[in-house]
Amino acid sequence: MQTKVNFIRMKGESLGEFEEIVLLTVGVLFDDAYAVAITKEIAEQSGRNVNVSAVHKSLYRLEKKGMLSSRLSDPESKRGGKRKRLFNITPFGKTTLDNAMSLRMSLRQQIPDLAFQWK
Amino acid sequence: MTQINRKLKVPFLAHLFFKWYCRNSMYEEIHGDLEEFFYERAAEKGLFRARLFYYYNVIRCCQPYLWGTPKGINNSSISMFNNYLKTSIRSMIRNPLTSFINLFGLAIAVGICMVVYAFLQNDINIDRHHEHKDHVFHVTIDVDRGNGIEAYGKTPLPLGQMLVDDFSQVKAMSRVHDGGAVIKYEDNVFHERVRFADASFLEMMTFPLSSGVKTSLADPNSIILSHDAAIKYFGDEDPLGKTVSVNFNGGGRKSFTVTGVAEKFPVSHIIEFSFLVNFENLSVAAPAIAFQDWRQMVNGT
Repeated sequence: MQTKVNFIRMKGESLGEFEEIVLLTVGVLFDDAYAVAITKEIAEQSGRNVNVSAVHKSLYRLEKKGMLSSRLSDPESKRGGKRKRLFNITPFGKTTLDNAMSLRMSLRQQIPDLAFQWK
Repeated sequence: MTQINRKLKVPFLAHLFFKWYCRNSMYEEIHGDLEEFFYERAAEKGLFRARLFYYYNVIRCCQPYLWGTPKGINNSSISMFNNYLKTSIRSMIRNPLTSFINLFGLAIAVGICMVVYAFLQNDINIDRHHEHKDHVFHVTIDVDRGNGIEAYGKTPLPLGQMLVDDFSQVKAMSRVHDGGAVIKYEDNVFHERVRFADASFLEMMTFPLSSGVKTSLADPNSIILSHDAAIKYFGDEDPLGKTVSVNFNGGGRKSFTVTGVAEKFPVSHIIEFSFLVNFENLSVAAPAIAFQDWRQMVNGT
């Protein structure tokens, strides 16, 4: 199918590559998504050994853009009695993810087979 | 779930540093993450790797989004400063050659200034530590050897005694001469420069002695060492009272007892000695002739 989808670009909707991965991982770890778990999950699934600080930065940026909501959990002895911040995807975050995915898929489908034939 | 050793503590200094730069509202959650990593690593890979990883994380997390706003600093001046910084860096990047020439020239100029200042400071302060520096003089002679009058630092040997005898304003006089010798103490045998001086040498110059008394130089059998020479020959031992055998280059040999050790000389000095023996020993070192050129140091008035 070769349909071109028109998007209405909302302000602040652009998503960096790493931010997208973090956002997706937050969705995967539903209701248990905090920085340490996200770091480990990314390392496990994609083999990228990112530092916690990069994940922190992306999480707070996403929250500022409105794609994530957060709350503080109960104190845990594993963390020396400190609470952790759990993140959930907001509806805006979901639409951003869907838009990004469909953009990629539509562009991918528009590539002619000729582009992938190398002599 | 890994076992947590309750006695494990996060590295203290790094923790302090983190607490200092981190904003209070975010401190709990971020440091909780760091602690969780720390305990896990300690259980899996040992304490050393855990601490290393902790230090690495503290440094990586030191980013603007975590920094708190310190009280008392006006926000606009920080922003202005940042703006100036950015524009100046941009202009430097736009004109790399010009800025490099300017910066490099300035750096070199400042460097040269500092070197000159340090050198002059050292030069002016040479030998200022002597107390009687206004009253001590070095006697020189003007010699006409066919090329016009030249000034020589060496003076005849009997001149010192004659000055003291003939002039009443001359209070003290010390003759100084240097010679080479081989000095031996147990296993340490070295060639050294030995200085022969009268007993009044130590009165006129200020060389504080870390051990021994100044008057000991009057004894012809005593030798006074400098701080470095004492370390070289005796190491940590106390040299007082030990016997050192000296083999002068002229042929004579004699044993001396160590009666004093001088303290370390101040950095800017010219007059110094490694070994000090009484002037009388010159007759031991080499046959002394009545009129000859020996070096002579100072008179005091």
